[in-house]
Amino acid sequence: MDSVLVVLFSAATSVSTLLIASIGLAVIFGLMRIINMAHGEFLMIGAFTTVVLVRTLGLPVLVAALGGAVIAALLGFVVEIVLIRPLYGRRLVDTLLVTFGLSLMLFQLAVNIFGTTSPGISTPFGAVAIGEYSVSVYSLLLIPVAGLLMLAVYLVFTRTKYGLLARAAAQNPEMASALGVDARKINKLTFMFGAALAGLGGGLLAPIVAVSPGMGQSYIGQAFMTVITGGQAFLLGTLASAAALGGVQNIVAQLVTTFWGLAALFLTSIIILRFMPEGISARWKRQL
Amino acid sequence: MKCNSYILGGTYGKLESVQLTRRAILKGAVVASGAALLSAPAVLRAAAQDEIQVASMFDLTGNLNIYGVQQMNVSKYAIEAINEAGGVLGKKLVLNAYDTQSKIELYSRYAQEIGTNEQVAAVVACFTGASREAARPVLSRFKKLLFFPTIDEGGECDRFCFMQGTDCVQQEGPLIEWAAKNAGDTLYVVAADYVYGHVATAWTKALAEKAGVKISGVEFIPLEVSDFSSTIRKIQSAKPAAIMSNLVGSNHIAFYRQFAAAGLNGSIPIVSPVFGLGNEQEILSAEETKGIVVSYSYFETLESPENKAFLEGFRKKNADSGVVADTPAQVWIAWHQWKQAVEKAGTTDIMPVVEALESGMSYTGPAGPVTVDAPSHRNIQNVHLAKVDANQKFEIIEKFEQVKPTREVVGAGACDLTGADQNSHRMIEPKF
Repeated sequence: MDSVLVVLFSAATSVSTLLIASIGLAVIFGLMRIINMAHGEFLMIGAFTTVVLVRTLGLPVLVAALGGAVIAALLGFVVEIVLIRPLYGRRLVDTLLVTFGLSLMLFQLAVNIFGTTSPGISTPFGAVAIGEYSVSVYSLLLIPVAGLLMLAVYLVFTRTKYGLLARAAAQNPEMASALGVDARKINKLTFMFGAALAGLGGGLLAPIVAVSPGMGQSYIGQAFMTVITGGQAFLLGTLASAAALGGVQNIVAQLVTTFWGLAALFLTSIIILRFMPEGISARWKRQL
Repeated sequence: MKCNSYILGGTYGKLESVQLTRRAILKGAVVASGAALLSAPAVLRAAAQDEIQVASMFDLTGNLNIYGVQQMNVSKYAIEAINEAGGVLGKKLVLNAYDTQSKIELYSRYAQEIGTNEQVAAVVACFTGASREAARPVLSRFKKLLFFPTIDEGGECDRFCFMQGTDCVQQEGPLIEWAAKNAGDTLYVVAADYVYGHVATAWTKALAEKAGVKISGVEFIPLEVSDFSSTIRKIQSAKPAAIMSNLVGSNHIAFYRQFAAAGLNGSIPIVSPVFGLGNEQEILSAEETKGIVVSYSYFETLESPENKAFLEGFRKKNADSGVVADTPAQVWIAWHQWKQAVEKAGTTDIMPVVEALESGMSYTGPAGPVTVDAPSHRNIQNVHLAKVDANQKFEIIEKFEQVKPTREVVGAGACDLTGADQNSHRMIEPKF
């Protein structure tokens, strides 16, 4: 019994981790159709900010992660003006190349600032016993945190004026502009919001991984799979695909090996996209 | 980028056609003086009488620079130290330093460049086995001597290549012995899912059987994985007495963090032949790493006059460059063993130097005395067991004197460079 429970918790943690790592990408790709290859580096910047805040100011991890979101948003602000703005309306591949270059630059910049072996922060809150197993409290905590994060983003897009305008600008940019929506401003806000979510995600993951300049690169592949498999409803679609991919990955890893777990993630994603080329949420009525 | 760029010599010719504006003259002056400083080929040849060219290729940028930067720091330091002590055969060494940018293709390209440069007498280079296998065949074809500083799984069988780091047997034997004595007789193996992890694990199994230790589980983890929740659950189900970690790379550091977060680091000790190579003990916190047992030839905390002098000299030049792990220390040892061999041979020609290295002379460096085992081209060296202490430093707990390397390759026979393989320049692929 306790082993089943531990497996389920472990699977839920994997799903939450995937969600936390992809939500920022989902917002930027879902609303702006920009393939942000530097998403992993925004995660990394959020993680480093969190580490620095925890180590120098002694802030609690969850508060420091918000600091990570702020720094990532500020960087997003600059990046949008300098690199992304000239590319609106251009081919998808242009944004891919530009953000890929940005990713390489941010990686090397992090190496120059933090070096390659900078100290991280250990996982807070200790462990809890479930039957004869012992499980990290923080990784259990990531499950409700991911849930709250989803809820908050959902509310931003359904209950705020910005959310309404952002969805309008995404669905029909010409009409939105004709009706007086300032698309430039909305795009800038959306890019910053996505960057902030990536930074927050990195901050939340910082205590369970080794924060290094290269950490973003280990998430980018899975995050992309999740977002693409999720399809047009970028919030609930991403949630559904994170649940499917993360769940399959973890359960297969439990039953067979970690390698097959990872293979199962990509295989599931391929199968879903083979039969639903537009993603899980292609035929859903909702746009979120 | 490579630091010593005599390609610049070519710019002399181009300058003639430049129109003589003030800016052009200024630029010309800068380029000309730069080219002169950076030794144009003509200058090089003239200087060759009292200089010996040597080369290093390490990853100063890219994702492997966590290892490469310190290797290069030590390589430069070793060359400077040798020069300050009078050079080799009375000649100054000139280090050609190449940044391979963590890219395998640059290893083959720069190896080609080094190979075609007649002046280069020896090379200390590479970190991963893959990079060595990109560079070694090329260097070997051009008859260049290569010293490889990293610990590795074995299989190299090349008369022109010397392995400085300990092999799996030298490291894992003492670790398994320690685990059996101090933890119990079951071992769970977590390993990186690539060639090193598999070969190291094959040795773990073989050595465990010899020591009467039972393997209660093996799991190979792809290098990009940093979520270990399922592995940690499985370890708890298997209830091993100790864990052997053959995990590699920055993603895998998360294993130690998540293992500690689940509250297991107090109850199940971890032994590892690779932990600490990338200074993992500094990235993780003290409570996460306390008690992890590792084995290397070199530790900063070794107490010997040679090590003290080595570290003092290094810190003078590199005050903030972090811990010197085993691999960079092996770079120093490699340059000094080569120097000793050249002085014995009286020449930098490759065959006499190889024979001098094989002749069984000893060099006592920061890690203690080392002697080449001629058939395997590996060093017989001291191996130290160390435990990470509360200050994230390695506390030496046991010393194994003059541990012999293996000549065997997992599942694929053996290499004998003084006998059947004396003209060999190949890699024996381990089978597992």
